[in-house]
Amino acid sequence: MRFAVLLYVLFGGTAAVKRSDFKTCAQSGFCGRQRAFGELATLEKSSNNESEDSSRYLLLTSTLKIDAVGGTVGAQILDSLSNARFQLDVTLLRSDIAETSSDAPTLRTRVFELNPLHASPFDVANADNLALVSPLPPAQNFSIVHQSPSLLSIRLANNIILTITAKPFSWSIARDNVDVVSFNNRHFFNYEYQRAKSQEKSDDPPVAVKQDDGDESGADPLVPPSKPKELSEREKLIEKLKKDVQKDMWEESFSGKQDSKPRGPTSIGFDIEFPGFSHIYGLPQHASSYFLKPTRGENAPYSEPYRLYNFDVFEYELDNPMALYGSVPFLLAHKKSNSVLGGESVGLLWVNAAEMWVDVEKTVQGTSTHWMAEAGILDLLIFLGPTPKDVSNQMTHLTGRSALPQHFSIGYHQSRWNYIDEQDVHDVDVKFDEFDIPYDVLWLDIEHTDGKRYFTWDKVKFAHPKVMQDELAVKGRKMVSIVDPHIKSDDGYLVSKKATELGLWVKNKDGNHFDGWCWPGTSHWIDYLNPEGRKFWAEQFKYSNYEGSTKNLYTWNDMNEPSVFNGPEITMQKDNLHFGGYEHREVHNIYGTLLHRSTAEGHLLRSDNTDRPFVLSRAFFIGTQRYGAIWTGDNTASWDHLAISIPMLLTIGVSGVTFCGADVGGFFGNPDNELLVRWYQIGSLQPFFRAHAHIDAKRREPWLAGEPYTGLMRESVRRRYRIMPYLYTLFWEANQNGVPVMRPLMYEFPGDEATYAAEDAFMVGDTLLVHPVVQPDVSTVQVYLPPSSNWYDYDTFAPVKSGHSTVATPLEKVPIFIRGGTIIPRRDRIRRAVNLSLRDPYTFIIALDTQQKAHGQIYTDDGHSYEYTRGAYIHARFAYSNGVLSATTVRGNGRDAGLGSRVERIVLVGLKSGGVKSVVVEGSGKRLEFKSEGGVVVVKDPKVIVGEEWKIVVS
Amino acid sequence: MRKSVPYFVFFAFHCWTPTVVAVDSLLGVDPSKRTIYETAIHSASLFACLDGSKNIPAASINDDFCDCNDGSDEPVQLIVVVENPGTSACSNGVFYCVNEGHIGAQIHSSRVNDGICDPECCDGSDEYSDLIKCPNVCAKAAAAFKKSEDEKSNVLQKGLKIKEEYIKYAAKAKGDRSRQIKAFEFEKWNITGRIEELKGCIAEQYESQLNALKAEQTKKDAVRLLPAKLATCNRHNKRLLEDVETLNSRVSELTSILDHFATLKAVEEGAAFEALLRDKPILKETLATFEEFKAKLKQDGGLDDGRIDVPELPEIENSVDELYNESEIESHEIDLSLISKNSAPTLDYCVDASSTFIQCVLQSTQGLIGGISWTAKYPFVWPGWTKLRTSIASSFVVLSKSEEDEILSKDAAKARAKLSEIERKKNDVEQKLEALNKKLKLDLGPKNVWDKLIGECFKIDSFEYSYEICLFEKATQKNIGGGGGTDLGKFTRWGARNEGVGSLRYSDSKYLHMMFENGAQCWNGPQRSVEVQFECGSANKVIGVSEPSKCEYAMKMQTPAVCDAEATDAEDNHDEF
Repeated sequence: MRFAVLLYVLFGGTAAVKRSDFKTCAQSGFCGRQRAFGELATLEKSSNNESEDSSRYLLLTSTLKIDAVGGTVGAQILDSLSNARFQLDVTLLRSDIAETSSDAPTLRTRVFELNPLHASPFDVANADNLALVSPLPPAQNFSIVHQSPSLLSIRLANNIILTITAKPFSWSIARDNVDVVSFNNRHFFNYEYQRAKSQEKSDDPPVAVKQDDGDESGADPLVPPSKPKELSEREKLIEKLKKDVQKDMWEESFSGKQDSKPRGPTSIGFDIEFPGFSHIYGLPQHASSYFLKPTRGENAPYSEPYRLYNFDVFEYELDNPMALYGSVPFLLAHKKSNSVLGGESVGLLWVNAAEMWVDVEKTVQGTSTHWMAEAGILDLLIFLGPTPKDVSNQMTHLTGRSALPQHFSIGYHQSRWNYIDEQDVHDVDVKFDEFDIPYDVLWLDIEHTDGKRYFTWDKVKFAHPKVMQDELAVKGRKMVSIVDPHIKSDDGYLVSKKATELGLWVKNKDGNHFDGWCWPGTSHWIDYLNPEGRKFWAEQFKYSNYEGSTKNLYTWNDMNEPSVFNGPEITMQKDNLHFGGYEHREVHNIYGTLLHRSTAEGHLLRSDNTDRPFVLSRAFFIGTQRYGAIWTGDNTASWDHLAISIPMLLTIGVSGVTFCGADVGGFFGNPDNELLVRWYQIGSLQPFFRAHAHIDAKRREPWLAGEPYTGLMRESVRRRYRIMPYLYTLFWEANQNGVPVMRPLMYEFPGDEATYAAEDAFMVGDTLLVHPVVQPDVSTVQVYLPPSSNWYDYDTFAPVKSGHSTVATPLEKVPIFIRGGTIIPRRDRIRRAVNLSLRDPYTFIIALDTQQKAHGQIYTDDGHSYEYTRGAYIHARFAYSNGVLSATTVRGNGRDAGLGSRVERIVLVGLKSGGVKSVVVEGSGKRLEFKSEGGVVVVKDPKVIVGEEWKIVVS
Repeated sequence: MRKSVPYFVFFAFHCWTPTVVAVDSLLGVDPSKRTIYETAIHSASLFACLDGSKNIPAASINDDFCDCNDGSDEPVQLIVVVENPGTSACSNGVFYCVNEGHIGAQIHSSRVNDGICDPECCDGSDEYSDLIKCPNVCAKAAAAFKKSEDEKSNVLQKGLKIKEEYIKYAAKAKGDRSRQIKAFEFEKWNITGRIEELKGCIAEQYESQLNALKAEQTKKDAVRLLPAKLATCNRHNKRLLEDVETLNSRVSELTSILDHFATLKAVEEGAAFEALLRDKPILKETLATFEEFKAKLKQDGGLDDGRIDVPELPEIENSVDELYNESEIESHEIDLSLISKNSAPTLDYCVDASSTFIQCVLQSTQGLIGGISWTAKYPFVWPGWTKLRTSIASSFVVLSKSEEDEILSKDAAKARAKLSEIERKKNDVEQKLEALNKKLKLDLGPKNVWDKLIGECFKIDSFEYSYEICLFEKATQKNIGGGGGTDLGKFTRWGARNEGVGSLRYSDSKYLHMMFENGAQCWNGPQRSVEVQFECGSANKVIGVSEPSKCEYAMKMQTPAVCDAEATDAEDNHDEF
């Protein structure tokens, strides 16, 4: 039996990730040290008088340089124990962006070591425009509120004041005289200066570090175990912590794999407190709840910190702070408040690509966090909101807006590892038409290649790739092929040969080409940190290089954490070397995103910047939204994986990466028909909608299930295609202001505490509330509809009581609710693919609020090019009030570009009695046919054109 | 059915509003439905949606707005002068392409004015907006269709001829088979009689020897010798058990080495190991074979770790009892055989009008064995007998030699040799009978057309593998590079893997698929299985094989056996609704 169980673990089944493959905090040297440092600081602080400062970091006021007009403050910070010196740069970045409720600037504080001994650490923000946009917004001036040798207070905005304290170095921000965020209040700040290995013993004995390899028996043999009995428990703990603070500084190994750590300790730790804040969110990617559960303190559900280090995790476990495929060191804090908004938010981003761990603790004051990264610099961005949407807006102002996707890419994607050959592709394509199910993209996984050599095709199974793509393209459809970063070590393989000649590979610690194992066997990895590496990669997508590719072929970047089968924790060695002499440990989390970026650049290159890229990546990082979509990796066909897709995608969305989804049906295993149907119902309402399956899984294309399941899956897909105009508008909004397409309820109802922990429901834009069924065999779900709005059932248009209620959920029911006061643009006609529908007429659902008003908007363009940047789009607003529906064109000349379609149907929902007597197009005086039934009025074919100004009068 | 020329009138309309088209043709519309639309339009009265859900003004028919729940108001490329064409307004609607000069077709309304010239609408009538102009390619389509139909028809004609032969063969084979069965049953009966006779012979000798033995040795002596014999038995038994233990420990050792290998790799390398396996198929195969070996062991009732269950050592006392019992049983058997030898038939089947042929033959042969001339005692009345006589007689030549009987009755050794020879013959006959009966039970399709193909094997090579199916028997896969075959399953049933999926055109559609199931266990997957799909062909040929899901193979085979004159007609009118 043992063998059978083992096989299960290795190759599938319900057994999950091998935890022993991945480090705990204690096994990750710096995390152990930083955590111990925090514990030590807590102990020392509690024993000291408040007047006596235990933090050893001091701001040298003599070095203070304040440029109030230029919006900067600079100073040096001294580590009083080691005498290492650090530079502090504070900048106010202007956030004069449209549609925010505040003009609060973004605060940036950077701390880095002056004259580091070994090498300048990697700065992911500044190095070649990697994590943040370039140029950054201009700095904003400020005024000094107070200045003394120990204190500097400056006004960031009307009601926001930043106070920097010199001794110990710390800062806090107050809004309306209440602290909302503070740095180093708990004295966890611990910046490991670069040091020489040999000098250690002579350096400051109390903190200086022996050439410690974690062997505690080597600790000070000269010091007798002096009177151990006299040591109190507390003192013993302190002794232990003092040792822990110095562990694993110069070498460590895990699972038999050595990390040589030639530069010794370089980690950074600090605490950030959010006084009075009840909920924090963010820090993707974890298979965990939307609101972050505590990892420290009494009754904390987790004992390990949230880890951020991009990994290829086989069959990941749920409800767990272990690291997954992507990382964004972003955090959103939210609380109830007495302001007009009812709630307020702040956000925080640490621009750092190294391994990171974050502890979360509920304290009396609010929520406290402890951040620990292995390398890089301390580069913090503080977003002051005050609404969650403002924070999203402010953050993506700096990390980049979500690229406007091609219209086809928000359609339905059909994937499987693997569609076997061209005949298989043809058969699947034909079946969709036979069953009249729309879809836009057919995907090819790794088996389509010639021996896992990306940019090639299997010579027998895919002998006519262009013909195959053309056949799909005739029906407006696209194809995606997988292109992974591991390049087979093979001189007969042109990509491999050229990259070797150009010396573009990532190097090992000895400076030789790094090789590791992945799908093709021994492989190399392009160094995307190298601009030449990115350029080389992008060029591979030119039609002349990627033989058999056509303009209808797009790309999937998998395994880009990077996944290295025989590497430590299934990834690269941390002492590998990158362009610029940086160690892999410093750049790890951006590696996959640089691949993503290079691929997107390749798409631009091949189309001469005329065709918007579409690239799906598994790894992600700060700024990923600029390059394409991501998905939640290798999930499992189970109900709990379906359920967790919601909090996972919410978290990823609020962290800036809005174009995200989970494999519909679950990657591993075989979903039963009920699970599959429910997954289509939910997946079709999430931003990226792709069905995918493992090679060992049975076929599960929608027609295989038979009725009623096939019909229900078709209906789910069609439901999405009907709301395409609305979805596309939401993606455009994300492109404009960074607010995610799939939103937590608290984004729309920031004052409603009942929504703060909600993760069983989500908003699609500001209009649709989805409370899906994520359990088998349930006949009802408990739904919460925030009472600040009125609501209607999406299917029947019947009013639904707000607050808590029970909704019947037979298999065909997807509980979707329309928020009163909104207008949804739809296209109710069914086409085979999105691009075939762009000229079809619209249906408008006008859901009235209690004041009998509603408003909405639409954005549309050609869905594939950059002509919209030259005005070829339509952005129109619609408002209904006092019985008049009026359309106004905001911007764009898309009408001239032939983008306007007529409106064929207007559905007025929630009309109060009195009865409609006539519906007339103002101006023409044309009387329209309509049907009125139970508060719902369907107006037939007004023939008004979207993009033109018109009024329709209902009386 | 394909006559008048349609003409189109275009009106310039609003932006994307479809252009109104007039069609003077009534072609292709179901006459009964046509009347409904016509009546409504002519009389400008109300039109009742075909599902009866509502009445709508006639002007709402094909006005590019969906009024009826069933989509029947935007239905077809109609009707009568100056009328609108069908539209895409209803997502559940259908659109009729007249395809003048070719065959009319219905398409999903989702394809109307979507900018694609759908091949089903060779007249281009599905695209009448200003998005795209589709040329009328019906002449070309008709020609291509005719060519392909001719080819199909050619194949069909050839196939049907062969199928006819199959049916004839089946009819003949059925008769032959039942005749064969009868003959073999007769032979078996005969042999059985002979065996009993010989046994009787041997028993008599055995009895006399036994009596002699009894005279020489008292029962006490026998009991005295028994424990010693038992002791020897037990010694051998023990030795055997020790051997089993030794073998077990070797199996355990081998198992644990392989286990260890996998465990070690799992712990050390994780996903890397998986990659290694992908990289080195030999390793993967080794582990897979090992796993299958164990699955097989488990199936055979072995222990999980591959060891053989060691039987318990029998108790001595029990053994003694068993010995006694055995001898009792043996003597009982001897008695029976003696009795049966002496029994004789009492009915005269051959003259009884209600008797069957076999009864007659049985009786006749009974007489033969008894050494009595059947012609003398039973004047033969069944007319088919003379024909069969020679062959049957020759099969039993040996039995009629009463002289030999005489020798056998005196020489026990010879008698035993003869007995085992005849018993072998009986086995042989029984096997043949079983095989024939199995065939008799097979569902061989309409008119038993598949009879000719029972056990016929067909091969196809695909990439590195060679696949073989033997119809009604088994499916196997072999690596072309060499190595043993993998069992993909035995024939289990007619019908597709997922019954009831898709729309099958044949009335007896179940005979278009054959399943082979319960093949070798797949590593981390199901037991292998094959679904063979048949299509009409002029010869038997496997034309494709694939593995759409892991270890679930799909094979396509052409065979005359499924050619169907009706089927082509059905295909002509093929539409998806």
